[in-house]
Formats: sequence, C-alpha cells, structure tokens
Amino acid sequence: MKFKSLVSSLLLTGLAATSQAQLAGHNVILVHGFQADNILNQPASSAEIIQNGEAYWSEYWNSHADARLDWDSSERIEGGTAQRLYDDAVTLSLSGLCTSGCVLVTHSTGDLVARYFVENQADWLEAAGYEPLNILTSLDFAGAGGGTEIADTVVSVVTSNNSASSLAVTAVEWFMGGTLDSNDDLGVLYDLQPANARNLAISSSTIPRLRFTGAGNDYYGLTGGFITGTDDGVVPTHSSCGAVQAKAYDSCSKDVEFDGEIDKGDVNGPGNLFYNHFAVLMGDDTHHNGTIGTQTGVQLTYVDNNFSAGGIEVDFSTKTYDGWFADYLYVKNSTGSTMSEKVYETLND
Amino acid sequence: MRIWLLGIVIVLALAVFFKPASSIKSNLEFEIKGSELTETQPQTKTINIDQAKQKEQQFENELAQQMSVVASRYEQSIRFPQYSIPINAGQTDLLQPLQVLPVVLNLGEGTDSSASLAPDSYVFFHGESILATLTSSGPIKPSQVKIELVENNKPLKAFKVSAKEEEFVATIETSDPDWPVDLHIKATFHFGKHGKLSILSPIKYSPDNGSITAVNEASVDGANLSIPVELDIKQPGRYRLSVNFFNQSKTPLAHLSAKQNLKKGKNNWILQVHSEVLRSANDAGPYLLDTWTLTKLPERPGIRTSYGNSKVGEIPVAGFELNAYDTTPWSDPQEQARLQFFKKLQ
Repeated sequence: MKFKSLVSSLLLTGLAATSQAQLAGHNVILVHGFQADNILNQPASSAEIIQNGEAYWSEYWNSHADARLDWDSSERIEGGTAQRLYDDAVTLSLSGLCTSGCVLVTHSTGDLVARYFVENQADWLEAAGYEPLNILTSLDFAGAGGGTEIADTVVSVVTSNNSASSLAVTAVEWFMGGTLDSNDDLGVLYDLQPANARNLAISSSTIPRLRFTGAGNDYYGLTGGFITGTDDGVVPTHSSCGAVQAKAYDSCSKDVEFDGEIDKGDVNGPGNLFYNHFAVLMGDDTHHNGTIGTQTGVQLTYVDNNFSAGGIEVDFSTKTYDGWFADYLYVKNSTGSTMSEKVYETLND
Repeated sequence: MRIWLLGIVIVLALAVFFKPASSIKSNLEFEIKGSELTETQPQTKTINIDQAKQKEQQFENELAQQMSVVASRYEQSIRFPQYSIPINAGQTDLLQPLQVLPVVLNLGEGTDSSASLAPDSYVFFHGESILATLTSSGPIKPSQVKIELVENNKPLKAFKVSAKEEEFVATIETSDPDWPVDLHIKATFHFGKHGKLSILSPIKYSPDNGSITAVNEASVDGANLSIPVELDIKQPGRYRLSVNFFNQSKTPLAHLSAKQNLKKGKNNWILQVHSEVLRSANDAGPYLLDTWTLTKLPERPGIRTSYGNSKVGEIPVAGFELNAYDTTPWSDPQEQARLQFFKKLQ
C-alpha cells in the first residue's frame, strides 16, 4: 500500500515511478536534457512536459528509474525550471524516496540543471520545512554542464534572422529540427552558452559526478564545426568531461585518447576537472544520444584518472594491450551493449 | 606503376588487413590468467554461454576497478570539509570566479575570418558603466557596427561605439536599475560576403547587494584557523562567501566557501580554514587571502542569483604552529554514506 500511494503521488506530480528499478539498492531520479521541440512548439501544459520527459528516456532508463525531474527547454533554469524542479522536489521529499539516498542520472543539459538543483534544493526545502533530498551521486551522460558553443551559434543565427553563413544556418536547422524566428524564446539555450553555463551554480559540491562521454556525431558532422575541440555532435569534450576550462580538448585524459590509444602525457586532455567530477568511460564513436540510447558496436575505453581534481593527486595502475603501432586501454567486449546498459548492469550487480 | 609505389600500396594493404589493436579488438578474445590479461588467437564467431559470462565478468571487474579509483579519490576528497577544500593552480574555475568567456562568431570550418564579443566583466552592478569590445580576426572586418543591450533579444539601450584600430569599444555610461539580471550585449554588423550578423554575449546585471568591508585577526579554533570577516549588507538574504587562501608565495592552498543568512546592515562572518589543508601542505603560515566573491543565492525558486562586492583585496593572515590545531579527522555522515555507496559498486 505504501508503494502504491507513493506511485500515485509521484504520478500526480509528473514523476515516473516503477518498481524494482533501483541502482545498487538506491532509487534513481532522471534529469533529461535539452529538447529542441520545446523551443519550436512550447509545451502547452505540465502534462505535455511530463509526456516529453517520459519519451526522452524511453530507450533505456525509464524502466530502470524510480522518478524523473521533467522541465521545459523554453524556460530559463533560474526561471520556470527552478519552480518546476522545486515543486517536484517537495513531492519527492514528502514521499521519502530519497531517505536512504538517491542516485541522479542526467543527460546533456540535465547535467547543468542538476548542478543548479543540487546547489539549491536543500536550502529551498529546509526553508519551507521539508526534508532535503539525500543525493548520493550523479551519473552524467554527455554532460553539458560547461555549456556548448553550438548554443552560441544558435543564438547568433536566430537573432540575426538566420542570415549567417549557409553552413551555420544549416547546422542550426539540423540541431533544432526546424527554423526558428528571432522572436522565439530561446529559454535554456541562453543558459547553455558557455559564458553562462560556466558561471551558474559554480560552488564546489560534495556530491560526486561520474562522467560518461562520447565523441561520435549523429548530425552527419554538421554541428561539429561549431563546437570547440572534439565533440559528440552536441556537447564539447570540455563540457562532457567536466573540465575547468572551455578549451578545445580531444579526450578526458592526458594519457588516453577517446579510442583508447595510450600516449602518456601527450594527449590533448584537461589537467583539471571541476571539484568532485570523475571521468569514467569514453566511447570514440558514441554519439550524444547514443550515451543513453540504443547505440551499440562502440568500443569503450577507461579514462586514466591520473590527473588531479580539487588539488588531490591519485595515481592508479592501468591495464594496457599491445597493438601493432600503439598500446590501447579499453573495455573489452563492450561493443555488444549500449553504454548505459553496461554502466547500469555493472553498477547494479 | 612504379615499383616503389607498388610497394607502398602492398604495405598499406597489409596494414589494413592486419589492423592495429584498436580496429580489430572486436575480433579478439582475452582471457584472465591470474591478474594478468593476455592476448590469445582470434576465436570463432560462435560464443557459448560460459564465454559470454566470462566477457561480462571481465567488464564488471574492470569497471569495478574504475569505481575503486573513484572511491579512493572521493575518500581523499572528503578528508577536507566542503568549506575548506585544497586546490592547485590549475583550478581556474575557483581561482578566477565569474570569468568572462568571449563569444566567438563561428561561420563553420573553412572560413578564415571570425569575430568575437567580450564584455569587460561578467557581472555589472546597477549604476555602473557597461563596457564590451568587438574584435575580429582574418581578412574580413566588421562594418556598420551596432551594439545594444537586450533582454531576450528585445532592445533596452544602445551602446556608444567607438572604433579603435581593429576593434570596436562599446560603452553604456549610465545603466537603469530596473533592468533585469539576465541580459545580453548584442553586436550586429556587416561581415563581408556573410552579410548582416549578430553575436550575443551574456552578462549579469546585478543590484549591489552589499560589500565585504574588513578582515580581522585570525585565531586557532579547534581544528580550524578562524578568520573574522565584516560585511555591510543592503539586501538581507541567503549568501555564499568564497575566497581563495594562498601561501606567502601566492601558491593556492585552499578554496574557502560557506553559506549564511545575512541581515541588512553590519554582519560578521567567521571564515574557516580546516587544519588538514595546512597539514597537507605542511605550511604553518603566514598566509594570504584573495579573490573574494559574495553571491546572493536564490532564497526561493525563480529568484535570480545576484552579487555583492568586496572592498578588500589581498589580505595577509597570521599563521600558527601546526600542532596548535585539533587533529581530529574531519568526518561528515552524508559524505561517508556516499563513500560507502561507491565501495558497494566495486
């Protein structure tokens, strides 16, 4: 009965609830990413936002999660999205879903949304007399917490009435799935401009963020030319790894390429990540949506974590495999599963 | 075909046929012998259930090893309280808070000209002048430049623009306190064959919520070095105060950050440096404080983050013998619970 009432209360507020969907014994909350269709056709109701959230995670995570925080991409994070997240947080607090600790799973802009939420939820809930949510960690797939330069291009192209170079206009149309008007409300795209993203909710958090990144491109490479460094078609590596600087990186590591090739100290990767950010897996051909979708056939590699975060240096030994022309560090036999499947099944074992 | 060219073709063909490990890894099998992994001959395509299980186990063991690394690093991280975390010189996000990131107009690969718009600061306070600079690189130069302040692409006020050599400096001398916090500086210009283009650079336009006015004598307080700070607050609310803590050579030692509710008028705030940071650096001082940030947090959802300022800059801080501090290790139950979770994932 208790579970039944929890399910109905969560559904009423637009949160998903499924049974036996925990990860390592802890409830999972999903935070989705940017949905371009929200900008082209602003959701008419909260019900539509919830439907969109459910559809977003339909390929894998919906059936492995206990709740979702859904939001509207036509709104700013500090505006309507903050209110929406708070309302859902109150429901989650009352439900006790996170009493023994919850795990966040974010995708893309959900990383930035979650960072803002994590920074403020305890203050907001405590001030209103509610128990703050006990969040253990966040699994961030293709995280956009450091912003993406494609947002700069979209903003520039749209506000100049699509009069930029044909290449830029085409890339924006592919990315957005249609042509925007200069009067359209660009909502979270403004938050995704790196200049804004890298100044939003920037305090050091004790909640660890585990990063799972890709370098494939499912926009036929059209968007890549507008994103700094190696990208996954939407998000630059500096963002998905959690690098402290918005530079043109080609890996999350200084020692291992996205394809697993080991080149100790010579790889163009970040030297520092945001505090308590830990890059875990990389997929050379894993594209942006592939990190949470059905994309298989990608060889994954581990990130050699031999760099510092928060001033702490920790070395660890890696396993290497001799290749003909180079040594490689990679997850064997990872081509048969999706990135999310492998992460969930392994961590949930 | 020349013989040498034929030779190259043959070598290339062989290289493609015998691809490097990265390309043929899906055709290879590995087996665990003790703790060592050794490469074996390619297997047939038929994989029985035991082999599949073994492969799964190999992945789990290795990802578990990664989680072990994460757990180890997190364990190191939580030796220090959140209010006093160790940092290095590369932690520029904390050492240079509220950085300006210029917005670069990207016209796609193969275009050799670009333009960039940078405000003088990410945060401008009510009543301050607002400044920005438009620059360009490559053969195409911006012309007919118009720069304006916009909210959600709606114009608020035009900047006065002056061309200086190859850049355009834009100024709004007097700003309006009724403008909202989230604004953009929009530069519109003709850019050669690309026609009329725009770049939008985001800024925060903040009320001046208050100031850090003074720093008093530090003292040892249990496990912490306590540093009293005085503030003069105009808008009561929830604030975050953060500052960086350096040794005498200006090498960063710690990032200090805490939240507190502040009333209107004079306030006192005790900044704390946990002695574990000092012991780790084996540095008994004296020290320096610099790069102060005062942030007014949203008390309720929907309120924009805004800022205060600091009337103090680099401040010397007295040091004490390291054995003067309580050495009880820092421990937070919630952080320990997170660590246990990671250990369970291994």
